[in-house]
Amino acid sequence: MALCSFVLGVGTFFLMQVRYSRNLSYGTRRLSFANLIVPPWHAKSLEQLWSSSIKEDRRAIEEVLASQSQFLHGQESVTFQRLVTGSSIFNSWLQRLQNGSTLEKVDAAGMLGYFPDPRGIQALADALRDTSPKVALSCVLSLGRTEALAAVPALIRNLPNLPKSIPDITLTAALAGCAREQPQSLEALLKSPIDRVRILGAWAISEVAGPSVLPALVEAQQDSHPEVRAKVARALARIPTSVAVEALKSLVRDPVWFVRLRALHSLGELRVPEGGAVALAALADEVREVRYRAAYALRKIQGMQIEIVAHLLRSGSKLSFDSLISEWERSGFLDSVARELPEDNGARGVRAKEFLRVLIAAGVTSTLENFVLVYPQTQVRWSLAELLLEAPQSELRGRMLGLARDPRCDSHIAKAILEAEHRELPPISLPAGLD
Amino acid sequence: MSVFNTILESAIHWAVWVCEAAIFTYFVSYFLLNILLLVLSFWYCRKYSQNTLAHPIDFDALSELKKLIPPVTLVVPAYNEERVISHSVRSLLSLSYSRLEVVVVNDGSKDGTLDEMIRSFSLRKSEVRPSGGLKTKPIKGIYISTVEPRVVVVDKVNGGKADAINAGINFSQSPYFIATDADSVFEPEAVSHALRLVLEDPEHVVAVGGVVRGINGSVVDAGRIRRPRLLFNFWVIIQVIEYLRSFLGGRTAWSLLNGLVIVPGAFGLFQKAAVIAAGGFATDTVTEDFELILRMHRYARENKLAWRILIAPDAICWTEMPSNRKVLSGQRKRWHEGLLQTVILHRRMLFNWRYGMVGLAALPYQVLYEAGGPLVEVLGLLLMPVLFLLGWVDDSVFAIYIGLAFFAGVVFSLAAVLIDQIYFPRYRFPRDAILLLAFSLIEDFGYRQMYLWWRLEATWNFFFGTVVWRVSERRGFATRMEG
Repeated sequence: MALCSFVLGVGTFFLMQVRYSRNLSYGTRRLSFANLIVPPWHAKSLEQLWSSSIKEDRRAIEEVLASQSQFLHGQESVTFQRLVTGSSIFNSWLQRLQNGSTLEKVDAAGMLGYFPDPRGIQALADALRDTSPKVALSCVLSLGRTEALAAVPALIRNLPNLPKSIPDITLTAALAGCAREQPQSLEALLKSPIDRVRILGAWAISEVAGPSVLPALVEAQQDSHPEVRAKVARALARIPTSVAVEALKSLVRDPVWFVRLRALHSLGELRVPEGGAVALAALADEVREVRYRAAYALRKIQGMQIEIVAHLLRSGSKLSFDSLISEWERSGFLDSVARELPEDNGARGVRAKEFLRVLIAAGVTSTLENFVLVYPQTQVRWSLAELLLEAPQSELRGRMLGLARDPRCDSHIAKAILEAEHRELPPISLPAGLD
Repeated sequence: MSVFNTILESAIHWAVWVCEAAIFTYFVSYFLLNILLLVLSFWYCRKYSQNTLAHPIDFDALSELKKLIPPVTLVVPAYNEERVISHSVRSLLSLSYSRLEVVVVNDGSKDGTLDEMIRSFSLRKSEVRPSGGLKTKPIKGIYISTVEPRVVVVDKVNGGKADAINAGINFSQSPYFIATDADSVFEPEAVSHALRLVLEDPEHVVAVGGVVRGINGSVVDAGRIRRPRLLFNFWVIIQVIEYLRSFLGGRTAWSLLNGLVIVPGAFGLFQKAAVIAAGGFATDTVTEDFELILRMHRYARENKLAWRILIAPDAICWTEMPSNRKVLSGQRKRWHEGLLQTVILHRRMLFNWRYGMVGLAALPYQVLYEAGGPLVEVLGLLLMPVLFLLGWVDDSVFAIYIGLAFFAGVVFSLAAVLIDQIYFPRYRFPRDAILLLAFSLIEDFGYRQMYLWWRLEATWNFFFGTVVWRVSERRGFATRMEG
């Protein structure tokens, strides 16, 4: 048994050794090809290298060509692309994609994606109909990589029949990449009777949308599928026109929460003043995520105005206030208010003080207490300590004493807090009989 | 009297036969099942590592993809992690995934974990409110960074790791989160690799587990693994082999069969809505990660949801492994106690067709071979040699028993090391490979028996003693250098 185990162990090591050596030798050969394929390139020598190589070396050469195509720019890139697309290597990819085995087709499709050429795009478009999902996937990835407008019609035509195993996100990225220059080329997808196709179309458009697709988007905002409407809302964020804003304002009233959320986000991105009132109203939405997004939109549209917070504190619900303060605080809301406090800020300083009084009265003090200890400007720490000491809440008094004892507390502020506490302590009255 | 003797003799023979049959059946079935799992794992890893064919989401091919990916929150529960926390967070922020948020949950640390975070990331208290509704111990404060907007720190009353993760979920802003440990180091592409599996089937894949590897001995610089290397330490190498066997030789196969019941606590990617729907991490169990996955399977089946839980073998996270017997035994006992606790909690799923692969195969496997295994194996170790010496067991049966009890593990370990070296090589060749192979050969002689003893002890503690939470001692990896 021990011998058996030992033999097994040695056998496993031998297998590893074989694998390791093969990888090492492949890596070495790849490196040597990379050293051979360098500018100035010569078509003849590349052809010769290719034709004289065995199958595995050809794979290494292909990898070198692919990696070089990604790192070249400008004229060099054009020359290199022309060299490869004019060579027999390119023709062999076209042939393999047409007549090869599944694996060969996958590899060939992958390579064609690195060298955008009408013949290659046509071959990839034709191969989208291949019965193998792996080949179809490889073609989608390559067409997306080419980012060629010519690929859009083929992708649109084949979209309903493409295998379900190709994820939506991949198809969307491919469509968007190819249609970047002409987003209207994707409009046809929004009219498809198939839900998935409409969703993909709207998603892709939302990545590249421009004014040219606005009419189609406005029409699609009535789509029966909420995913489509949500993607339409996303797309409208890229079109800063009054028509888009009106469409978004109507989508904010959508019965489905994620459509409302998306519409609010887009309104925030557009930063148009008309969106302010809508976003303010949406702070009362029943869904927490929507309220957060409304707070985001308000921040983007109107900035973090203390009047809005004060208004919510006085009249709004706790949920609306919590959503607003949470979202704004992640962008440093109270920090920005505290920065206004120093006396030399004049009216702004007074306004900030008034607002903080409202905030403290509402019991939102934890951050301000922390500021008394750590805020970089001494003047702000002083002002905050004063404001907190003014507050009538008895529990806050106790916490202020705690702050005074904190080693991080400025000694002058600590002294002031302690003095203030002593000033307001009720006179000590000893129990009768003890005086 | 003679009648009594005859009855006694046949009773003893019958009892011996039952024990012998039980032990033999256990070992043979265990061996065959694991061989099947290994074959499936090989197939899965081979398929997985063939890039173009296996992954319909290719971030390199489509530049647009990077704009479409969802944000992900890394939830880092921290309890007395002063020495590693800031390095760990910096390491997480440097991952290649572009839409990351890090929520550190200071779970009532008694050391300077919070102060260290405040100092390193210029934190200030904030009025951010929780956006999730999972119940947790009281929150003492929320801190946001003035220099790194992606960092949020939740300071709360101590409630254990599960409670801390729940608090982190409540403050996360992303649809997906990753539960991890403060002493874990992710490979730069780990998040992308794990999320890729979700994005390939976002409607069904609700959780993805990564693969955990031992960081001990590796060169770590600026929160990144610069050179993976095995520490020449018996306990560490043995654990590395165990992890390889568990992740690459077992869990990958269960993932393929949709019967994965364990997602590692150091690297689990979850769909937030699914976890909240299932009730979040349970705070009253010892192995909260195992319990959650079982509960998610249960929830999905009971609500007719086709959820899938997968493993991404190339999503790798490096973590510190116990390097001495005492800490290791504590960890293993805790795991075993957690296993017993969780399978008892979800006993309704056992052999229940309603729960599909989990109820019919994955959970029974855990019960029969992981929870019940130590009892049968120890019985075999004590009984079989005695029976053999008494001549009550055939030579061939005894030989098969010895083979299965002492050498089956060798086969599984060698196969797992081979899968690792072929498909996802990380450790250096040939030094580390030789070490792994050599220790695979000796693991079954001594260590396996010790491990059995620990598990028996844990079983005893669970049923007759008290379950205690054992905390691992952290050495800290931030300053570790080569040599």
